[in-house]
Amino acid sequence: MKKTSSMSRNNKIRDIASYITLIILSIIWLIPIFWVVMTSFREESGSYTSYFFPKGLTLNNYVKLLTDNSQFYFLKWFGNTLFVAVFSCLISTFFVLSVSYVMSRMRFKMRKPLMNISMILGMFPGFMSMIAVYYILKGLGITQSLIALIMVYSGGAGTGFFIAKGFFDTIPKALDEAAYLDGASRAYIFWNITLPLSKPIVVYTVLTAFLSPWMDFIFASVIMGDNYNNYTVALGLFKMLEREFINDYYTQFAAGCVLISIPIAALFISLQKYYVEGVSGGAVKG
Amino acid sequence: MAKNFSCYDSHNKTNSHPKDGRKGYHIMKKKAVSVLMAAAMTASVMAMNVSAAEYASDAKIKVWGSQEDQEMLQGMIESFKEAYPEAAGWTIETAVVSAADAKTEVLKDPSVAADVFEFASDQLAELQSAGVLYRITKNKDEIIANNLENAVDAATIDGEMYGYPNTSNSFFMYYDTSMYTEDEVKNLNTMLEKELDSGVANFSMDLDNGWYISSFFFGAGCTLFGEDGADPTQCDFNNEMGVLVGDYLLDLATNAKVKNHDDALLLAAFKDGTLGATLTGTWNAAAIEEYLGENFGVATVPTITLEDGTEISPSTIVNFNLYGVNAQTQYPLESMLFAEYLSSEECQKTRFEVRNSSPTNLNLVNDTELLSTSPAVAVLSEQVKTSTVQPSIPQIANFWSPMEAFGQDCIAKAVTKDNMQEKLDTMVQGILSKLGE
Amino acid sequence: MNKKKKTFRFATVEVVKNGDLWAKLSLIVMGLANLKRKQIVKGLLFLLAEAAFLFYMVEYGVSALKNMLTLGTKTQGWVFDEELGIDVLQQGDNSMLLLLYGVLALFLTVFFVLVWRGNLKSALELQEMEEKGKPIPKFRDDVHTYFDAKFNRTLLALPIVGVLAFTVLPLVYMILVAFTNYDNAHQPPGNLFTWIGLDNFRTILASGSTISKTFWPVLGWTIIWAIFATALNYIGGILLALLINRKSVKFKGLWRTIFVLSIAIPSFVSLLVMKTMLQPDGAINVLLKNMGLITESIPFLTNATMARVTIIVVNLWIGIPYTMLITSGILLNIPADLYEAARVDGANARVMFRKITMPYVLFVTTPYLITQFIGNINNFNVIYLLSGGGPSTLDYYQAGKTDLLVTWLYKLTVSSKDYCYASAIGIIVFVISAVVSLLTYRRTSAYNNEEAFQ
Repeated sequence: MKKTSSMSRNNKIRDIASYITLIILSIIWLIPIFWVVMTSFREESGSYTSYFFPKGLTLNNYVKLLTDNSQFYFLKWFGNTLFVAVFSCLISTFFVLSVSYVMSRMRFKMRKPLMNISMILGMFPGFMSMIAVYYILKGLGITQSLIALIMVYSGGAGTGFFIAKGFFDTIPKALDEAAYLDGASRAYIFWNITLPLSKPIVVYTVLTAFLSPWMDFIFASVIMGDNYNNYTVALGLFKMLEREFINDYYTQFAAGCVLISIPIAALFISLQKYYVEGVSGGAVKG
Repeated sequence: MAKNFSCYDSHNKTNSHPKDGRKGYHIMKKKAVSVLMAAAMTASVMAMNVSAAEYASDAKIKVWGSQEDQEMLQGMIESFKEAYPEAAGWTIETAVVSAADAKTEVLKDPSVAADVFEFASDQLAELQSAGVLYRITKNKDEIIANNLENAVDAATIDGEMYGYPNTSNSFFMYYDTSMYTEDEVKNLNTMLEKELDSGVANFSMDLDNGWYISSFFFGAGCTLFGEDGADPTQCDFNNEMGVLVGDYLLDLATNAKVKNHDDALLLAAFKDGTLGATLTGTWNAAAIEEYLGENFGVATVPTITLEDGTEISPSTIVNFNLYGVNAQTQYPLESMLFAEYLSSEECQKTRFEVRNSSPTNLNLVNDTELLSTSPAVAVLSEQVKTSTVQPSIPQIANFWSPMEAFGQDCIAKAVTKDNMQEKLDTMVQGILSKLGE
Repeated sequence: MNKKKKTFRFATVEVVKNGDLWAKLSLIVMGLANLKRKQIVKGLLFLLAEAAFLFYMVEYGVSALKNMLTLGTKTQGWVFDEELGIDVLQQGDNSMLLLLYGVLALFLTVFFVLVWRGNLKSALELQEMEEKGKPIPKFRDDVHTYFDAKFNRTLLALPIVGVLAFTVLPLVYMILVAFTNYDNAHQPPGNLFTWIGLDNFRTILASGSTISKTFWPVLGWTIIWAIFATALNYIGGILLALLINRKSVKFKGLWRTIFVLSIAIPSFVSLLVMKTMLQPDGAINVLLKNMGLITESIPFLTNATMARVTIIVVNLWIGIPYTMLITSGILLNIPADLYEAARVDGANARVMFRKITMPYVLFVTTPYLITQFIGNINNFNVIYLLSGGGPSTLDYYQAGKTDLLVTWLYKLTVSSKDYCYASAIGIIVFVISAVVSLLTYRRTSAYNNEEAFQ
């Protein structure tokens, strides 16, 4: 009797401690986000203020960002980035899952060499070969286009399969073998047995692939060159921080940050449900 | 003729140092001599009105400018077509690449770069040595005669001109007239002695940025890359005067009345009314004027009094925006005509009016009545007269990082007056060092 | 059938020794053996490949390979045209493009040789089948095997093409640049550059203080950074996942969502925002001052040591939720019966964590750890956007105290355009990290014991 009550008290203390930790961590995690959102509504311009909370709040930063196209085509660039992100994430996800499935499930002569090579390939800084990539795209006749960006972001995705392969390795092989004995082909097993069991890793792959176009400004600027119309959001936001613009545009920059974070956040949060469902739905049982 | 030659010679003198390890120049130079006479002659014969027959009637030209300039450029294209009937059928399109990014974009792929593009003069040497710029041969003497001498210098390599001077860019002082009188802003030491309200900084500048702090070294007679800014093995920021300047900078950095402000911070400080004076350029003029209202004041960079009592007048770095013609253009003659127009007095005036750019055209620079409409540009034009042209040789890329480090070390007090000589030696070594040596 | 098939390791030798007439003819005219045995489509494809390759070689390939040896001989020049009064451009060779085209030609040649070998193998297979009187597979059967036994080839084809075009080919080009003098003074199109062998490596490694006084300290910081950033993110992420996954913690979704928000904001944005917030006059210092906690600004990014700590901490903000996401998935994936069994044996929570949870998580995430480690060695964004490598120091050549090798290389390529040195340094770094990670990876159970936890 005594023992259980002390245990439950212990548990209670632990529970409280975990909640406190979670709350403190949440505050730390939310402060920068809170600050951007607040700045995006700030009435006074400029990147620095001598006070933390803005003196006045306004929606103007958003309105200007979306309607004033004299300097920055935010909406257009937003659309570009979304387009690129959707397609490059579809292609990269397909590439990553294909490669990781093959590496996890099939045994063939070139398997280990290929795994070693792809691990090594990730180690060379990509930007150093930018210029070569540019001329390859030029050779294909697609520089300065969004398709070029899609190809750049997804083309080399095949080497990033390690995480997904690690995940596939944990799915029992017995399932495959049973299906194989039933006469199913490898392609059938891949699509109908392995993939449905792998929602968490699919979600992970999709999300990481979807994010990169929103963050890259180096490749985008090399590929787009003087084609201002085809800029991506990251390039445009980066431009707002140049010294000619930063004072007038910092609050709009913050508004832009909030706007591009919304679809991504929405995607994350909605997929998170699937993610938890997919896992807890008992799909994977030893 | 004789006049033309003397004009040329005066330029050649300032650029006569041989450049090491750059074979291209020797070839260029040889050719230059033989070509020189022809160039001078054609220039005087050609004058402004060239017969229309020489130009293609359907030329296609692309011109680069920053996004802010797009509307203005459209207007200039229209007035260009009006002024030159032979250009009526040309297709002139614009695309967005700012002067600062021109080098990167042109060198990336010259074959698709604009035919006419604006670039900052510190990119000149690299663009020229990569062979992507046309040499200016037409109307050269006229261009030289019409523009500021240091603007022409900035566009010249080994006596040959590669860019059409357009605007100048440097910095000067903004101050709050309620805190300083016109007399006080003549000397920085005087300004710093003054007691302002608590919480108000007397002075601020970007103390860890070579673009600003170099002005004190130049003012003290130190040189970067030799007298002509073309010798990558020369820099004497660590000489006797340099050490005095270094001490002065250290005093500034450790003075509680002086703040280290970049653009964003100085604007915030002016807005809060916590700053008396600062150094920056015309791009901040509108914002500062808005914040200071009727207390808005501008002046040239004040003199400074070094420890040994010598008073020196800082010489700010200046660079110029130049128009260049792409070596790979299909329409060189047409592009040159257009580039020349874009940098003409008329267009420079428009730039001044629309974009508050400081002109290089002598008529405009000397037109005090015109310039007085923008006090900031008027002061800048004054400032530029004593400025040091930013060297454009590739070694300049190594200049910024050691200067920044020196500034930061001053602020962090890692530099003291005792180790000043040593630190400046390291800094100069960093500026002059080359990869793989 | 699959296993009994002879492996034609040296298909060419085999064909010359034992091949029949058609196999031997396939040495020259590809696909003949297939055509002979009524594999029309396959045969035509081989033939087409050969024709296309020959056309390419005659038209471009041969000259591309030849030019690659010299990297161009004709310098761009100018001739003054008296009549026009201007210089006229004489186009010269562009060494950079010649090098790139050469690499492309090499790739196509290698690819063609592989196809050619495939053609010979196919010929030998057919010969064997015919000798043994087996039915010759139709094109449809071939296609079918590519979705079954050879499904790996189908799945790998496109990803490999993508990687070859956008990773390997540019990489080979970049590696070759390290053996040329493509530096600031040799910029195309105005100048030619050429092969100079190992000179760049010699200057970097053997000569001089300029590079080495920066290279070694920056390498040291890069490794320290990568270890801390990876390990702390990993541990923090697992702990956070465990914390949220505790049975008694309610609103799991809410907590997870809060932390996921920091991934949901593109790191590009959050880093730039943090940079502003962490300045001496930035929001954090302002807030702390207003609260009366400090009077002097904390030099988050201006003091060398502080800057290094700050960067690692900010990276935690971005990185922990990632690990949290991936490990909480894995934690839920751990077969429940493992715990059941342990509970029956009387194991407590701590033992179960040590004996079941950690080994399982580690097993699944070792590759993740290694990719993270390499990713951190090359973590350009965090450094470039947050500190820009600063604070600067007079001790280094064109680098600051928080510069990683990769950001330093970026500065070298962008500001001074010394591509050859940059890529030589890149290769050195690449060799170091490749060796280290291959060695560690090969020792992990994930590599050697892939069948565990099945």
